[in-house]
Amino acid sequence: MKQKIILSLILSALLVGAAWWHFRPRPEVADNAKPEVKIGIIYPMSGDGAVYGEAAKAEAEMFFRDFNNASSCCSYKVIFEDNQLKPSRNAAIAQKLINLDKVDVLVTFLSDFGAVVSPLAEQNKVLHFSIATDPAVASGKYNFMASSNVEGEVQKLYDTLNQNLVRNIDVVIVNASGPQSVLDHLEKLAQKEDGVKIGRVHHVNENEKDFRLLLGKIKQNNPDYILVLLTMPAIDAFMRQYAESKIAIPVTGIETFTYLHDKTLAEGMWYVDSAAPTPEFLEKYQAQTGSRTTNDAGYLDLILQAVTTGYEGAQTTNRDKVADYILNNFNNAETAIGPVQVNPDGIIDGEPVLKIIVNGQIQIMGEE
Amino acid sequence: MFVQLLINTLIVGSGYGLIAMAFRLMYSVSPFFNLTLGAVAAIGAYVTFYLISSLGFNPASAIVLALAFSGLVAWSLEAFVYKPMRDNGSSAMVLLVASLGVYTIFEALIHLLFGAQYQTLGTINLSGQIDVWFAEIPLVQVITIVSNALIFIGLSWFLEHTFLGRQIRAVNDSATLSHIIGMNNSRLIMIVSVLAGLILGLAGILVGYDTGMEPTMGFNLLFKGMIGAIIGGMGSLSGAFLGAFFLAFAENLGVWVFASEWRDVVAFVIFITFLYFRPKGIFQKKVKN
Repeated sequence: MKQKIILSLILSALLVGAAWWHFRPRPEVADNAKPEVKIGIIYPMSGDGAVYGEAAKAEAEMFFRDFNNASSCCSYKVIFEDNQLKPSRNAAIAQKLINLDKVDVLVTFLSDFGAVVSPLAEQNKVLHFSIATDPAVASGKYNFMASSNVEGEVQKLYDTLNQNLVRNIDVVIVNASGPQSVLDHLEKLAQKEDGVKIGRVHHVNENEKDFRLLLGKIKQNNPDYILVLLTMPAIDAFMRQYAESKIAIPVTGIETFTYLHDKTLAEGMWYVDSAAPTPEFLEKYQAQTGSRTTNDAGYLDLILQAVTTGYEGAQTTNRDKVADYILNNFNNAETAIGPVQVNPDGIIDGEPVLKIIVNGQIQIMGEE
Repeated sequence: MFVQLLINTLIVGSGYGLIAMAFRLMYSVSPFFNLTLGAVAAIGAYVTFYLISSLGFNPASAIVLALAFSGLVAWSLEAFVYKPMRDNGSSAMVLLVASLGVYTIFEALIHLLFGAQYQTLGTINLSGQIDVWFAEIPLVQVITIVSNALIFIGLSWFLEHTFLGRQIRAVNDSATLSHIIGMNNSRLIMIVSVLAGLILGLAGILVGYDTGMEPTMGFNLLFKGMIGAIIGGMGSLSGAFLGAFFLAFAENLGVWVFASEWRDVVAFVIFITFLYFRPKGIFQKKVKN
C-alpha cells in the first residue's frame, strides 16, 4: 500500500513537472524583432502516406532555409503535425494548431482532410491552403486550394481516351470527396460530348481489400477501359488482384498511380496527373535534400510561395489583407509547378500532364 | 459470373472459417469474447513479414516460426493475463474489457514497429497460380481453402475421438462439473489457447499473402470470424465452419447484386437478424434431457 502511494506521488510529480515545462513562460520577443507568422502543416508523417510527409518536411525546410533572413516583413515558423492519414484526426490537430499554437496559416493534404479543416479555418479567420481536388475545400474568404485542376485533368483524360478510340469505361471509385468531384466532372463531360461514355460506376469503401468479385463484374461488363479512382491503401490491393485476374481490359486513372505503393503493378500504364514540378524545382530539391521529390512537394512549395507573397506583399500580418493580396496578385506567378492561375474562389491551379509507369517509376509521357 | 461468386465465397469463407473455428474453440473453454485473438492473427502475419523481409528467412521456415510465435503469444496471454484474472473471479465482461486493452496494446506495438501502412506478403512469394478446370486460382487461396478444410476435419476428429478432445467438450458443457470431477480446466485452457493461436497465426499469414495486412487487420478478421461463428451456432465446430461460408456467400451476393460498398452492411444486417431471431445460430445445439 505504502509503495503504491509513493509510486503515485512520484508519477504525479513527474506529470506536474512535464506540464510546467510545456507551459513555462517563454522570454518575450524583442520589440524590434519581425512579427512571427506560424504555419501549421498537417500531413501524414507516418503510415501509408509517410512518404508525402517526409517530402513535405524536406520541402518546407528547404523553402525557409534562407527565406527568413531575406524577409522584409515577418519571421516564418513551421509546425508539422502528423494526421496518420486519418481524416478524423485532422479536426483535433487543426483545433490544437489554432487554439494552442496560435497559427496564422494551416496547410492540409487531400480533399477529405482539407474539407474537415476548411470550416474551422473560416470560423477562426485562419488562412488555410489545401492540396486538394474538391472545390468545396476552397469555399470562404480564408480558404485556398492548390488544386490539381480537376476540370483540366478530366478533360485531358477524356481527350486521351477519345484519341485511343475508347468508347465506354467502367469506373471504380472510392467513397471520398476528391474522387467524387472527378467523377462529377467526367459525367458532365460524357453527357455533353460525343465520345467516351461511362458504363457502370462501382463504388467501394476506403478500407476495401477484396476486389475479386468486382473485377468479375467488370469483366462481364467488358468496357474498353477501367478508370480507377482509388487512393492508398485500396489501390495496391486492387492492382494486385487485377494482375491476378488476368483481365485484358486496360486500367487508367487520375492521380491514381501516384498513390500506388508498388508501382510495378501498373507497369506500362498511363494516367493523368496534376501539373508536374518544373525541372528547375526538381533539380533544386534533389541538390538540397539528396532525394527525389513527390508531386505534392511542388504544390507545397507553391503554397509556401503564395503565403510568403501574401505576407511580404501586404506588409502586414492582418490575414484579411493577406488573403486579398494573394487573390489579387498571385495570378500568373511562376511557381514550382510552372505558371499558375488563381480564380476568385481561391483555387490555384496549373496544367495537368500525362504520366506513365516505366520500370516501376513514374515518368512524364513522351520523356520516358 | 455465378461460378466467380462461388469461388469467391469459398476463398473468403475459408479465411473467415479459420478465425471462426479458432474463436469457437477458445470460447468453448473460456466463454468470453476474447478480442486478443485478432491480435494473435495479426502477429502471425507481421512476424512472417519481418522474418522474410528483414531477416531473410525462406517462407517455409518463416511461416513455421511465426506459427510457433503466435502459439506462444496466445499461451502467454492466457497464462499471464486471463488465468490470473479468472482466478480472481473476474466476470466475462471484465475479461472482455481486459482483452480490448491487450488488443489495443498489440495493435499500437505493430503500428510502432511496422508503421500503419498497408503491407503485403504477396510480393515475397507464394504468388503462383493453380489451374482448376474452370479458373486460375492463386496458390495462396488454394492453400487457404485446403488448410481450412483440413483443420476442420482434424479438429472435428480431435474433439470427437481423443481423450483431450472429450475433455474440452466436457469443459464446454460444464466447467464447474468438470472441475468437480477432478479435471484440470486451467491446463486445458492453456492447450486450447496454443491450438487457437496456431490456427489464428495461420489465418493471419494467409490473409497477409492474399489481401495484405495493416495493424488493424486483427480486429476486422476477428469480427467477421465471430459473426460467422455466431451465425453458424456457437454450440458446435461445424456451425462455426459453415456459418463462415454462409456469411461469405451473403457478403459476396451483396457485392454482386448491389456494390462492393454494401459488403459490411450485408454482413451486419445478417448478424443482427440472427441475434434477433435465431441467437443460437443455424445449427442450434440440441440439449438432451
